[in-house]
Amino acid sequence: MFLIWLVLLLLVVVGVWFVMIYNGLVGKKNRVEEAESSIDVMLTKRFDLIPNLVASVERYMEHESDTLAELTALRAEAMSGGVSPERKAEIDQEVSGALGQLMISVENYPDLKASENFLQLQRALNEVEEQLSAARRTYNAQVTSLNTSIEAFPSSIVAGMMNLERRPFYEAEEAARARPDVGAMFDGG
Amino acid sequence: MSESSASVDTSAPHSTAGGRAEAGALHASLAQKLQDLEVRRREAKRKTILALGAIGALWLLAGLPLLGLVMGVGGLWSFVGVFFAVVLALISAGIWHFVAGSALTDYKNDFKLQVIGRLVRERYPGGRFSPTLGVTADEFRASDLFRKDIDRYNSEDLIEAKLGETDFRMSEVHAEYKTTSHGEHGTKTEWHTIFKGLYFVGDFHKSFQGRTLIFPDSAEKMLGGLGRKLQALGTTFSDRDLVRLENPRFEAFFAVQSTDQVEARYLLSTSLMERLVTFREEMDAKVWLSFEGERMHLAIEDDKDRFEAPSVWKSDGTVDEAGLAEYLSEVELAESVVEGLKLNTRIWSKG
Repeated sequence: MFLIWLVLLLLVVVGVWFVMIYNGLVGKKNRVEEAESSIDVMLTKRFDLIPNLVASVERYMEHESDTLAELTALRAEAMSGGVSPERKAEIDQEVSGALGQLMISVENYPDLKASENFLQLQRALNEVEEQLSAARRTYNAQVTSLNTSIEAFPSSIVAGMMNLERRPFYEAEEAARARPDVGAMFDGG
Repeated sequence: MSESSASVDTSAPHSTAGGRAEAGALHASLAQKLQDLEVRRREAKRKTILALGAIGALWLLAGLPLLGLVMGVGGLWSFVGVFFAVVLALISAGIWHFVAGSALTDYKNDFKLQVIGRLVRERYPGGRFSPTLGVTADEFRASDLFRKDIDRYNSEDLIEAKLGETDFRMSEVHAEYKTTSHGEHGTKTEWHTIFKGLYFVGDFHKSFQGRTLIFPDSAEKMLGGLGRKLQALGTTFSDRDLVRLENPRFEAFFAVQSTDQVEARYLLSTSLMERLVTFREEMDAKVWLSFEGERMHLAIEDDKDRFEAPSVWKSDGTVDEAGLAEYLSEVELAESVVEGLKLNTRIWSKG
């Protein structure tokens, strides 16, 4: 009799433990997905700024028309839907690169730099970049937490049963993306 | 939140050669005032000694016979004795008030207004220094950093100014709660410090909706991974979650809680985290931060009484150049917050 109770007790303990780990993993997986979608929101926000940006700078920047055309094309592609996640990440990188280049070449157009409209756009762009960076950092933090649970014992057993896989980090190397030092532009005037 | 002693190293951020030269020039322009104040300090000291002497003599002459009356004769005479003792105490208070009190408080206030006030205006053009005002209890509560109910709240030495784009208020704050215990000898009331130190409230350069709080990290430092688990448990019943940040030096000093994981990282950019670590190292004291409304609250634990006039008991209380530089560095603390955390950077949507 005692043995039966003991086995029952053990079963209950193991069951509770399993449910807790299972729910924990589900929570972590959902938080990764939530973070992923907040990156998408910020990317869309950034795409929304591109038409305005192009419209307000093309009058001044005759020599950058290639970059502007590239930005417009990239936006159109991203907005068209049905883009694979890999291509989406590529577009993201290319937009970052093109925007970075554009902001550096602004230095050559004093009239543009002084335009209130452009300054506002630049602020909005900085804002989105800052939020995008926060969203990426959040994603990476949540991925770290999920990946640790997937690999560490004993949650690795449950993760294996759930077919959970390690997620890749968002590797947008801030330095390599040639982000403009907008702060310096404002300080220097 | 502890009673442990702490003092802010105000000299660190601004102990430059230029700063010293400036203190020298300021000292020269304040020399006459400082001398006048020293004369008044000595006068206040003389009056204080006089008052204490008079009160002492009064009690010796009248108090001792009274004691004899109360102890020795007893009966009705005890009541008479107690009555005269009360009269004596009232007379003593009167002597103190008329002979020393006003000279002493006037000296202290004038020192603050004339010296600290001048330093504040020098450092922050258009700024104001109010010795008797401070960051209000409502402002202090709004930060949400200190959850304990406040039973006694004192704040003084308010600096209000605008530095570049950032307007701010900074003052000394002492918030306490009390506990009462009932023992053999009746009720015993004890006061405990919730926070004592310098409190800064300033305009923050980014807009936000959620609530992000930054606490000094004690659990993680002592207990490592287990501490982190405890921190996470601590937020179980609040609407905030623990935010794990990627900067290990930052994580060693601070624990972050927020209602919004992304917004917390937006506020705590990688560069701001670095700056906070540097600031924390320079201050060498516990630091709390909160983002509320449009503003940033920053609390620095500090057990010293700042912005005070030299004590009347000193044999020589003349404020020399080094002394003035010390006052200046206390005043400059707000500046080192604004500059150190680059609150004047306005490249984002918030203008």
